[in-house]
Amino acid sequence: MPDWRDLCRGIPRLRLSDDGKTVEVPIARGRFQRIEIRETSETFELSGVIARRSVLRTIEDAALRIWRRNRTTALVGFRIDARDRLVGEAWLPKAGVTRVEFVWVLRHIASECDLLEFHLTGRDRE
Amino acid sequence: MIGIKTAGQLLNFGARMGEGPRAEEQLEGAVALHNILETHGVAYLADEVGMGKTYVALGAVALFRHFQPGFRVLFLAPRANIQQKWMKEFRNFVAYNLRYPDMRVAALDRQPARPLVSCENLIDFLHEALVDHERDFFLRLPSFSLALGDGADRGSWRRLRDQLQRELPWMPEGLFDLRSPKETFKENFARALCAAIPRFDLVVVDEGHNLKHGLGAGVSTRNRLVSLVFGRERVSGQDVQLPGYGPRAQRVLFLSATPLEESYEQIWNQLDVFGQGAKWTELRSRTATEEEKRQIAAQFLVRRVTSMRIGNQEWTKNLYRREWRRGGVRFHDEPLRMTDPRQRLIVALVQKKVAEVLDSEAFNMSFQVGMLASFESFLETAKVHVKAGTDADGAESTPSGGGESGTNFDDAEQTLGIANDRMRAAHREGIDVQDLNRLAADYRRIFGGEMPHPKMDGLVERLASAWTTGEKALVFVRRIRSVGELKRKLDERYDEWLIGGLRERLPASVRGALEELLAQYREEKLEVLESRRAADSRRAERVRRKGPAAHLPDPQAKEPVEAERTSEWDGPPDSKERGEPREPRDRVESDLEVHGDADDRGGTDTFFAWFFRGEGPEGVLSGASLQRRFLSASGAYATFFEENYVRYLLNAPCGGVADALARHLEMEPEGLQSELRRRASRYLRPRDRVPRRERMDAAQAAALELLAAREGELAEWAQVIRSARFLDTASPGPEWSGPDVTAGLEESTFFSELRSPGRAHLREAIWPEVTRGTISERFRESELRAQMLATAARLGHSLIDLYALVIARLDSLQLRQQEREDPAELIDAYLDLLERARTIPRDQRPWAAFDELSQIAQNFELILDVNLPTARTMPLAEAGRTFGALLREQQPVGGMSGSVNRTLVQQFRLPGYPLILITTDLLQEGEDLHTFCSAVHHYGIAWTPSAMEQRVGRVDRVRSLSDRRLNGSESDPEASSLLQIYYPHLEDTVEVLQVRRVLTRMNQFLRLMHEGLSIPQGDERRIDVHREIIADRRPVEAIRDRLRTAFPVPAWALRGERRKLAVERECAERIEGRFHSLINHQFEFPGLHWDPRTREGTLVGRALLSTGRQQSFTLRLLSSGDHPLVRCISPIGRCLQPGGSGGGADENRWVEGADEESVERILASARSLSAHLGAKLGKRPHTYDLTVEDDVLLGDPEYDIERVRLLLHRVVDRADSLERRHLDTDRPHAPFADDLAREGEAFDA
Repeated sequence: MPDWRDLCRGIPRLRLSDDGKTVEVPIARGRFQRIEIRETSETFELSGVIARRSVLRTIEDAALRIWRRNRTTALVGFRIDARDRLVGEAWLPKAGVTRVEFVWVLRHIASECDLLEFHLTGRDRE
Repeated sequence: MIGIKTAGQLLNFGARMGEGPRAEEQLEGAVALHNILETHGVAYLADEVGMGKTYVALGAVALFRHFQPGFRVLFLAPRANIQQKWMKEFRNFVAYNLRYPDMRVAALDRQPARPLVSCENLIDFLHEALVDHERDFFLRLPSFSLALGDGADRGSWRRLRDQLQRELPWMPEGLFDLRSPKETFKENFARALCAAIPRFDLVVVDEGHNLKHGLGAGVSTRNRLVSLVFGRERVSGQDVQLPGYGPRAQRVLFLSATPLEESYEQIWNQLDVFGQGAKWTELRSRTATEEEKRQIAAQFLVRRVTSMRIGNQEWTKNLYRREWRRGGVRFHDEPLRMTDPRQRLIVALVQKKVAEVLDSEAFNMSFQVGMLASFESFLETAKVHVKAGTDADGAESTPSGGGESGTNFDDAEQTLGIANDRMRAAHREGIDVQDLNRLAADYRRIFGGEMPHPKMDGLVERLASAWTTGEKALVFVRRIRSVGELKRKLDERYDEWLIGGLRERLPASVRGALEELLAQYREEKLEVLESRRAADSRRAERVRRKGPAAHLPDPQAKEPVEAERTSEWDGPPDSKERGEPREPRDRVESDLEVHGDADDRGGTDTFFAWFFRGEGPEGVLSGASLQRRFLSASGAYATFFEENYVRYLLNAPCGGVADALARHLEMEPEGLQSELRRRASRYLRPRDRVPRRERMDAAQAAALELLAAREGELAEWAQVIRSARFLDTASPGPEWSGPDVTAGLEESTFFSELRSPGRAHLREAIWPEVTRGTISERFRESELRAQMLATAARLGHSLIDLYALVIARLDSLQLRQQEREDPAELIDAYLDLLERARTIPRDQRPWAAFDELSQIAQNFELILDVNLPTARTMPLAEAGRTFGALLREQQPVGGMSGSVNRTLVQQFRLPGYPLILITTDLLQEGEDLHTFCSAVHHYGIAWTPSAMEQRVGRVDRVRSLSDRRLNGSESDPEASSLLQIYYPHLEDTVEVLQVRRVLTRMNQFLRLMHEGLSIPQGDERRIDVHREIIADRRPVEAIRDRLRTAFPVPAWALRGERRKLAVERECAERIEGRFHSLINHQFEFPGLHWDPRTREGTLVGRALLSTGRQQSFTLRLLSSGDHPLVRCISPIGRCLQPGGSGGGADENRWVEGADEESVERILASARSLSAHLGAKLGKRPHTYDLTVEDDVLLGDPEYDIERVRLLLHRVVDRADSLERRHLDTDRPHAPFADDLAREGEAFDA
């Protein structure tokens, strides 16, 4: 079975955390998005936190917004998790996974999380 | 950079208009634009009108996107109707002009690979951009006007601010201080928008000349807001508050056939709005020569000359257009004649009055081009309160072209240069209006009628032959009232023709009844006219009093609807109160709704509207009553326009279908009868008496089931027909012992008789056999053709022939007589009538039903392309409704001002009514009206050559009537078959001065664009009578030399280093094959059923789960960058109760809100599930509004099954779990199937 850390190795500016559970993906202008990676027997599960409960509480119609966004966004889905955080999630099957695919999805989830964070909070993005 | 050869492997411009020089020219254009944009960041496509600039631009976009799948594009259209047109053309382009679905531009189902988003206003744009910016956005320029009221409470400001903050909660409130100056408030709004939207790789600006005044002082705020939204300027001091503010248009492509009016600086102005001017400042230099400027512009500006190949010669537009410059409309190159002495005297008197007005100190013998009322009418001119189209910004609250409430003329923005308010108001009213009104009132008092106007009467005389020739004409006016006046006069002429024809064709026995009906019609019409006149008088009186509410609706009006209607041509006239609805209406009401033409209210504009449309007069067999009977499920005409499919498939004679079916199925007749009864009962609701058409449909469906169960091509046909026509009508309910339906197999119908060998020529002319494509495609096209044919036959000009035939056969106007009719005999008689018309040459008989139907048949592809491209893929029943909605409320003469009537525009693009369309400058730009019209009348003249050119451009286009008639013909054409351009005017009046001025400027404009010269600048919009009257009085001749361009495609722009496409055809086909082979697998479900509603790139299925429950889903093949991707969508059900704010600007559109309680309940159910929920919201109700959705990439084919298995279980299991938790139910597949099959389709938006 492939090890996702191997798949990440050698990718410029990608930073693996010390505990080996997360990776920081460069977005733009020196900013990074932290993506957590979990494994199941058949998949890699990627997730990033976009807004915590305190921020989410200030956003009108947050759930409806993200459910509508989920209709159009490819590869990445958003949801409010059990801790009332807004998270972005993506996954890859282990079967036949390649480095190119893995990095594509990784970068995709990072940039989508970053973008939604900007839309909701106005944090600088470019 | 891309070369022609490589681009040609992807793009096929000849798909719809045919291979040849035109297609090559478009391909070259697309490649050149792509390469110029890559090199300079800006390009200007200034091809002459009608050459397909839209398609060339879309070609360039496709080239970019094919190589850069993430390429972001925004389209900026000048108006709402053109915004919609761009979206329609985009879908057409993707469907036909890409050689294969590359999964980057075109998805496998030939829909755009990226969704298209129509933005109603800037807030809507912001919202959509935040939802998903990886889509193609379509905006319109007026949205940038951002009309804000001046009310003390600043309500509209507050609303806008609140909407913005709802989208961008982090936006600093201080930016939107309601006490700040309006301009500051608007500019901050634009900057905020800029900060939030993504950077677009390309912005396409259609009709770029609308920005030609740039950002200078005194220019509209709209241009400045465009520049701010696209981040033209860096705003010092704002950066901290507005993170992300900056350039948003990396490349800009401008389109316009008239990119400048007077100087190259106007081109620079357009570039400058998007911050692209820095590189091209020489265009506004005072020292550079005109030739130097031309050379600079030629680096990024391309203009090709339109031409037709006729008799081995290239005919440029000035050669194939036949201009009637002397003013006459009857004989070419002759002036309008005034033979009646009374007319001459009246014209002389009006001229004297006009001269007196002009000679006054105030006007100093000058007037604004096109803005003297007497040029168009001698009737009283009461100010028109023009109802305008508005968007949520309120930006389009003025009439087209900048006209405004309080003016009598369209495009009154030409008066903006008049500094004095009082003078400007006088010109907007028409400086001769008050004198003319006095004259008209005196004349009516003394002579009891209206003053004849030789120009109006001459034009009406010319156009009144349309009902016998079927030739369409487009008439442009400036004076808004002229629309209604011309229409009324033409309607009167139409009535004379129609009533005369009915008197001649109906049997003598019904003439008495007909005369009574005519008297009733005239009485009702008079009542309506008097009511309108009274409302007009009251309005005019209020205007005279100049009260503060002069333009508001009259509070004393007895008929509020009439009084408030802005003109008599605005829409369906009065709702007729004629007592209780009659029996037939009750019976066919639901059928009408099914056919999409339920709300036609008839009217009194013409006898056609009164008698053949809407409800029609009570108690008689009117045209209206007859056409409704064709839709009724019961009665003699119930199956007239149906199709007997079983008879067709078995090639059986009428009366022998059941026997042929029994033989084919090897069944005994009794056994077959019983089997048909059993199967048919599933298509019928249990009741005592089954209507005729339902019985026929049930019989057809049952027989098709039996046929489909066999082997071979016939079975395949039966399966296709059954799926497309009857699958949805089958009821899963308990079987009942329905009636014997065998007779439903023997029905004789219009279409089954048209298939008989003896009608082969007629069939070829009106319903040609479809021979291309798969069985499914052939059936579908044939059915669409039949639906449109039947709809046209019963709703427009064609209905008159059918009605005359029916009455001649019944010899009565009594309603009950219809039931005496033998439908089979009527079908034969109708086909005979059409056949007779077919065999008599067109010039020896009037234009008739056959001509309308055959024109539809011969141009069916074109008609769908320009009007209803989505009809090709929508369910057949919905297509039928769409045709009904398109062809309802037909009127022989259409009029339009203020706001675009979409139905009228679409009908003008079809054969038949309206034959004449009278419009202000509202339709001057962008709208295609070319398909069946090749005559333009400039009844009211525009003041700029570009406006005149744009008007003609509505009918001078690729695939126009003239193009189809002339291009490629072997010999020189008759003068009458050229494209006719009329400038009706009277030579002996001052009007000739303005016509001469405009024609001179048009010649100059041609030289500028084709020889690179500029026009001497000056106040060209104003006519100095003193100077002009003594100037050269010779007619201004049209330029007759072949035109050449001053801005050819630069050779370097056609060369490129790319040799290979990013996605080859074989690659896309392979992926599609892999995707569709998924139906061979079970994916570890206890059961998996695939639905027949499958199409390219979409699979619909139902999984049986280990829990015994079931869950529906759809799989769609999409792509993400270079990677193919499968998306799975599984419906939970209807969970979102409407309500809540939803966060949008347009309340109608935002059915998207959901009340908090629904949302909270869903959140609670979903919290522990890692499911990605999708909210399916919009205008149209769906069978589900909440889904679970997810995607997986496809990699090595070896892993497809494993990956899709994971995806399916991930989505389906979670959706089922939520359905159980949240709705506590397990809904079957059938209700969801249609909506699942339509996921992602254009018409499902």
